Amino acid sequence: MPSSGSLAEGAISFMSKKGIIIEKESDRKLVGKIKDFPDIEIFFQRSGDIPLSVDRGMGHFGITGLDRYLENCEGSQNSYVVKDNLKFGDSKLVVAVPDGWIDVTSISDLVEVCYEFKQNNNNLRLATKYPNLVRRKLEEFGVTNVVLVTASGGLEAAPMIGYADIIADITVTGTTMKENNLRPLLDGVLFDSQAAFISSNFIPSKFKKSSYEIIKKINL
Amino acid sequence: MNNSDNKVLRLNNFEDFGPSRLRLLKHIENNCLEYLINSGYSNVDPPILESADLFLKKSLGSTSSSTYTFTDLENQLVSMRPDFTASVIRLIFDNLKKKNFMSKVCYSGPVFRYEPVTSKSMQIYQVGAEFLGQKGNKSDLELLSNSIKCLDLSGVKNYKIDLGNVGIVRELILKKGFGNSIAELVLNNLGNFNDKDWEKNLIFKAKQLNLIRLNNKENSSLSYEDILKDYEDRLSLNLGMRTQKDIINRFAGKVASQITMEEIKECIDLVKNIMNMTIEEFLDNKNSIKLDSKSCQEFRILLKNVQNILDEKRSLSLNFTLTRNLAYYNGIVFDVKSEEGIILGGGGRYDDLPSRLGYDFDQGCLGFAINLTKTTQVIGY
Repeated sequence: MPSSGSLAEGAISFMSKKGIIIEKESDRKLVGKIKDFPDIEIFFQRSGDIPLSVDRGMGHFGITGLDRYLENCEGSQNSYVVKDNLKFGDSKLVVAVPDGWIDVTSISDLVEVCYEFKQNNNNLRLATKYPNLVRRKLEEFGVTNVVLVTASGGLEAAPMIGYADIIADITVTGTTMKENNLRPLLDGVLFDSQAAFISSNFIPSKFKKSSYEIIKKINL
Repeated sequence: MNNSDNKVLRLNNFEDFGPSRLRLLKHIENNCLEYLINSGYSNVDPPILESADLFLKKSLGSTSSSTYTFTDLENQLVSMRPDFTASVIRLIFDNLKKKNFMSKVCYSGPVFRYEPVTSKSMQIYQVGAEFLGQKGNKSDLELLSNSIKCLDLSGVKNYKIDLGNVGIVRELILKKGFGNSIAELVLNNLGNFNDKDWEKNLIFKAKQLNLIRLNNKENSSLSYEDILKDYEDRLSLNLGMRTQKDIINRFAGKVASQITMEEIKECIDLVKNIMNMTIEEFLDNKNSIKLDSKSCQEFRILLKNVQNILDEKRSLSLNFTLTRNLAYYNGIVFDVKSEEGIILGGGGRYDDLPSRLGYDFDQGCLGFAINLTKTTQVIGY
């Protein structure tokens, strides 16, 4: 489960509503248990690490952002999404451009700007933490001549610093982007994300009963 | 991939072909290739793996997001071909010196498309052909005839051909005075023309794209200085690698091409009229829209010629909503469907594709491919 942030609080609350009571000795402890499920241990991790943990078999279930799972594990045969919307952790992956680009309001404007860059022997550079997801989504919209620059944080500063021209980042209110003179495109939502419950495809048979009970409660 | 018993499983959505299905596939493939070779096509075989750039440059459309792309051991971004067209065009231009040539090539083999949310096979066997160096009806008809013959050789009975023409739709919209942006918006949304909210969604998108002028005043063009003054605060922010001049010029162009709400509704009515036209109405040219242009006349001749080739069991329908992979089709487009509506193949004209791929060539380009994976499924084995 997520160790911090809004996903952490939402996850505990979600589980509690489903009748799955998480017990932890202290707030700082990164392991916990589930009441009435003595064979299940909870590990609290960075939500971004959870998809690969479950996919690689280090955990059997996980709560994480759907965007994170799809970025790292879409199409994996080792894990799957049990429930793709736990009704918390809403956010959007949006493309944002410098507010001074008054002529660019939509993705189709971006397609034309890509060509403009190409004609000047440049490539439009987009900074993101989600290169796989962004590339797939942009290609669906016909935006292909874009160089993706992977960055782990502080993307809003990328155009100002100069290592990218535009960004694609998760936003909830859009405030941070606005304060950094970035403007989401009108049709620039590439992906709507929320917290999701994921599972490994390979749960040892000794945990089958408990895992069945957990999934049943999750799906109620 | 291992399960708890250590077996390695076949990947999801990749099929094993048993002896009877493979025999059928090879039989159809060999018949088609023999026919095409005897019709003057040269058999070629480009590699399965190509630079990802080849397909990214070509695509601008639906196949691009479903390509198996990865970084190879030499750190190059490579893709397994999602279809043959781009590879074949690259092969032709890489291996031939002359600019003015007529090149007809045929091919067969697997292509790979990544579609995890569907149950469609991700490895598809195709046989097809590309025809470079001719524009006009004669080559359109030749291509259609070749594809019909290949379908007949495959053994599929009672198939249907949906034939459209992206060039005519674009021409009719532009002829009525609507700009390229409106034409592109309409063409990009023709695929869901039959959705009940099509009109509402189109207007919404037009507003999003700033294509609709929200007041009805005559559009006096904004000067460079007007724009600079009105947007001074924003234009003085960090603009990255773009210049104020580029931004202002493009902005001025967008404003100049805006239309009113009444005009977009007029365009929608025009499009509905075109889309709902039957083949008979188009051939008789008795519609309220006068379809007298040279391209309409030529398309009329083509339709009649194709009707003459087909009998009543293999029907031809006019379908102007058909755009296939819009980004590069500019003329005829066609789908071939089984009786059950399964798409068995298709093709069309894409004259701009060679230049999109970086080759200096504008003498016509068209092609078709048959999906042997689907065809063997439909025939049964």
